[in-house]
Amino acid sequence: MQYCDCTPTEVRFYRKSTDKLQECLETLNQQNLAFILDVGDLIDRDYNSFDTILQEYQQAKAQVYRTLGNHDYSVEPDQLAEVPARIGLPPAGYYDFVHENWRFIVLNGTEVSTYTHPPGSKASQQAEKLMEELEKEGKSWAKPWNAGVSNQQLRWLEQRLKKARRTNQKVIVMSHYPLYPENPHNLWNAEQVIMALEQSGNVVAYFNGHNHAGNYGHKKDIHYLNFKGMVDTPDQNTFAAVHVYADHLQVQGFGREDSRELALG
Amino acid sequence: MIQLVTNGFYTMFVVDNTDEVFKIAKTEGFEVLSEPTDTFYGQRRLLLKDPNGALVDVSSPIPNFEF
Repeated sequence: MQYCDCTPTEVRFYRKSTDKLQECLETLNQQNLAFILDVGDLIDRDYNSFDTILQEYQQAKAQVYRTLGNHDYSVEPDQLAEVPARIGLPPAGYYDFVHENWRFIVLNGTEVSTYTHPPGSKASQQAEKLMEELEKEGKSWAKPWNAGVSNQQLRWLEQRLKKARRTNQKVIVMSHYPLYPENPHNLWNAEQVIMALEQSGNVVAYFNGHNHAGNYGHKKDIHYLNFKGMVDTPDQNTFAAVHVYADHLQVQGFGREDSRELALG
Repeated sequence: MIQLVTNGFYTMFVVDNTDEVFKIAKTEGFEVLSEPTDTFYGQRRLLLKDPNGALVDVSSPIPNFEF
């Protein structure tokens, strides 16, 4: 949503996000959904912006599962550590849950970044160094607005995927950052995450935001769907309902979001 | 491969009954950021600020919660 009480630009209409979220939730509330996935960037900046957008979110009838986006960290340095708790997430920012033999894994793509930790901190310096290395390698996604996941989180992901496989669960993974196709918005270590998803054999889709234009790719039986950004237009909305079936996912797009049928297997 | 560098800390106390701690916190005049709430990840969580302004998470496992 990237809400803030800020003057709009030609491509960001921050104050309009509350009205768009209200319309979105009114529509989704009528769909009797099992839950709502939010692909991150609740705010554009300012910690107080969370109050407004989370207040608007209270009208959601279904449980909302969130992921951390880069803009959620556009707050003062002493507020950074509070961000996951402020939006209702566990401290590490990544988690999973099960619904009717489907496992949903939510990654924290902001974990290693130049903005999640206070400027000058070891963690921030580590991220800057990593980005410089990626730049030297000529990676188009070596950008300061992107980020990466740690080895610890990757190991956790692999464990959860194994658990899903043992119990014959299909898996949908979500994070703020795209993994595929190759794009300047991608997660710094997208290739490592893709490898884990592909090796698992039970992941059917990966959902994300971050690239406001939206995107779609399909590789090795995994659908990569980048939902469009809500803040980009003065009045047109964009969101989707995903209906899950045994052999396909039906993406019902609203406003600027495209409708798609994603075959499984 | 990205090794995670630890940075600062997040204090969490896991207790038997978050609501009991909440009563004490109110009596002692702690700043309450979030009253005890059942989270989707299986913890009943209270968020406080200590006198230095650091975030303190007091949580208790929700009985019979299944992942």
